Amino acid sequence: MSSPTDEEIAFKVQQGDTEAFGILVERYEQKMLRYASKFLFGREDSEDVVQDVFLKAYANIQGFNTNRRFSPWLYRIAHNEFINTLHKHARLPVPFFDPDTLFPHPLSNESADRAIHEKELRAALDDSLGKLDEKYREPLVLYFFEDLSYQEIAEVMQIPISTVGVRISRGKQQLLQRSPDLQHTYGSQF
Amino acid sequence: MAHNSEHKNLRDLVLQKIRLGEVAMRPRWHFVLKSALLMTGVVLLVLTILFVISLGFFVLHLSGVWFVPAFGWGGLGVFLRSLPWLLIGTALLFIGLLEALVRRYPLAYRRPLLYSAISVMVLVFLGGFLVALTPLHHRLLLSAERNELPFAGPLYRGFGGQRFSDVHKGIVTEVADENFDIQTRRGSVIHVTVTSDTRFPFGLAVQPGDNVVVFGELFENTIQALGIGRVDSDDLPAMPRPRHIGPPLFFPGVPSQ
Repeated sequence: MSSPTDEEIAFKVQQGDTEAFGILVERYEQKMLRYASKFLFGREDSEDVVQDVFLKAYANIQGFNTNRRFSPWLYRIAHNEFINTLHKHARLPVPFFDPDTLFPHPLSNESADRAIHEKELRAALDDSLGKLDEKYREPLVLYFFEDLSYQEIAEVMQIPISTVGVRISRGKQQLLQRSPDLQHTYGSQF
Repeated sequence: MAHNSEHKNLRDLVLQKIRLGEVAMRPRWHFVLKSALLMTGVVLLVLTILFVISLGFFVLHLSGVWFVPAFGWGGLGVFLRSLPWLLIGTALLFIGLLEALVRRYPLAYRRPLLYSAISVMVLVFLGGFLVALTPLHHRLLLSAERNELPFAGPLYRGFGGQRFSDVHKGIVTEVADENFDIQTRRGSVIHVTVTSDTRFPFGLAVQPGDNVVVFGELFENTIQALGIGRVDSDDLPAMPRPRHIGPPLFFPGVPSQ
């Protein structure tokens, strides 16, 4: 018998099965910790922040539509929580307006992009994440480490899908520019 | 194993906090109410914007400013100077708020800001234009002039009573060879002189009873017209006279001297 989906478990929690929420915590704990470590960039309290993410998810689970995917919904809560944490500690400027979200952009080929150089990119990203601008870091992490699709990243960050593609593409270029070793190994672009 | 115990710890910590009541699940109605409030906010904002924009179109039409771009570059300059900038600024402010609210909906945030902003602008300007075609503002202005509109009365009396030095709208009362008289809604009578430079973008014939817009500077109740246009009637009666202030300013049917 196959294990229940995240959405089925979330439905059980909504019906009052609190213990079932523990399964969701188990399933997403490592993902959230990894996301937090890359987003919050080595903060010591990242485990506490992840705990807050799960507590917020529990508090708001009645607002989750079980016809949609649980994973982007949880990542959205985590995204907000991480941003709030960074704002609290004045490490992130309050975003006012991002021109990337203003204009339409051609969408790059998502599946091909992920397949080519995926391993190399993951390793390079792991080493050089700190060299990237904040706005490029998160979509790259969600795409290459958390395996979310462009559409799911768009849901998490609440930005246009085409902007996700642009940020991933520009993030990779920035990674190359700021990591001469990578440029030497992989040429002008991935 | 260390990984497993860490794994268990976070789950247990979260469940323990839930059991101890340190965190409570928000009821479903909380989210329904939140969505309803957001939707209500959007609807109220849309209605407000439609009102403001349609009022803008209405006052432009009422003052005659709407028609002056037809009189050439000079008319266009007067048109831009005479636009109801306060209403336009208010509408833009509310449109910004509306855009911020609709960006919470996937339909809006999945698309570039430019698309949703243009969609919002087109919809509200088109909607405002359509509302301006209804008798809504017409009726509200009449109520305001009769002091029967308690809250919006000053707004309508202010915008409805606007006059511009270069744009004059009225009904033709008397026609001569190269001049004619018009009577404005305020009751004043203006003598209009036609010269060889006068433009007639809407046709030449002017007869008594026609509603006209005259473009040109008013000097001692006389305009040397730069442009004259016959326009559709507003079907608005003359503004009521205040009963307690002085003698009446005009007597209907009596042409100016």
